[in-house]
Amino acid sequence: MHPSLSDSELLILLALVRLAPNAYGVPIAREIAERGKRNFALGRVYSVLERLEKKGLVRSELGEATAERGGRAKRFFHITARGLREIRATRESLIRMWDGVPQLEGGKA
Amino acid sequence: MKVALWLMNRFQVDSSLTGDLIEEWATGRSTKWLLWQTCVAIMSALWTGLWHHKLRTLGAVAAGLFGWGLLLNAFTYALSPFPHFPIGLLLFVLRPIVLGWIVGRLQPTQPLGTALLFIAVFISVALWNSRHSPAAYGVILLLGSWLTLTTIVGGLLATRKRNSILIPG
Repeated sequence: MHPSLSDSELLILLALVRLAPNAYGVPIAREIAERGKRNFALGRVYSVLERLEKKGLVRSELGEATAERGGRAKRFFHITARGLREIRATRESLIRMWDGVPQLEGGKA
Repeated sequence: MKVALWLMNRFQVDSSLTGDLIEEWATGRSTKWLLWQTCVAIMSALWTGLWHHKLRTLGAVAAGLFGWGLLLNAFTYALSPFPHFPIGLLLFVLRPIVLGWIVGRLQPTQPLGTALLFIAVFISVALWNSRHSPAAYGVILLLGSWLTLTTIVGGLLATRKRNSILIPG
């Protein structure tokens, strides 16, 4: 039994996969806003990433400090093999739940 | 921007997150956006700093409450029979600053947040104790505002210094 991923965790993990290897706070939040149509504050993104890192689904590394960031380094996030397995497991379980439910077919309620 | 950076620095917000906010702000985001992002970043830092080290946080707050009684008794004893103005006033000012500093030093991952939590607990306890005399509420809230300000000063003094804040032109 896989530990379930929350909605925000799944969105952020998917953003990491799409943005690899240049995933840090700003592009992650933008990707979720543009593609996922959801607005996450950067503080929330970091909070979820920290939780994912504790679960071993994500690892991070510091880049170099730059002047345009006020001398602060970027923190790059990478999905781990375990993180990828969790995404696949969540996807399969969602597909199984979707499958064969006529109310969920088509675009009209 | 300066205020937001100062706040994030004092509340120990992750420096990479601060950098991300600076980077995004430079693309032309509004002040309202920055304030909202700063609030979320600070709340997140408070949660991480206080809850993830809850035993240390509880210990620091308990030490503060214990210290409050101890300092009260010690000062009263040391100054008796002259616990009056101006020494009394000086102690009135110094005690919450000293306690805010001690509480903050005992919880170095979130000194200012711990000092704020300490004073919130202290005021809550005072309000609870005077629940049968609503007339005292006003005095407690007035005194509480003063104690909050002075304890914040103590908490700020306990906050470790980081590298100087650079603001991009």
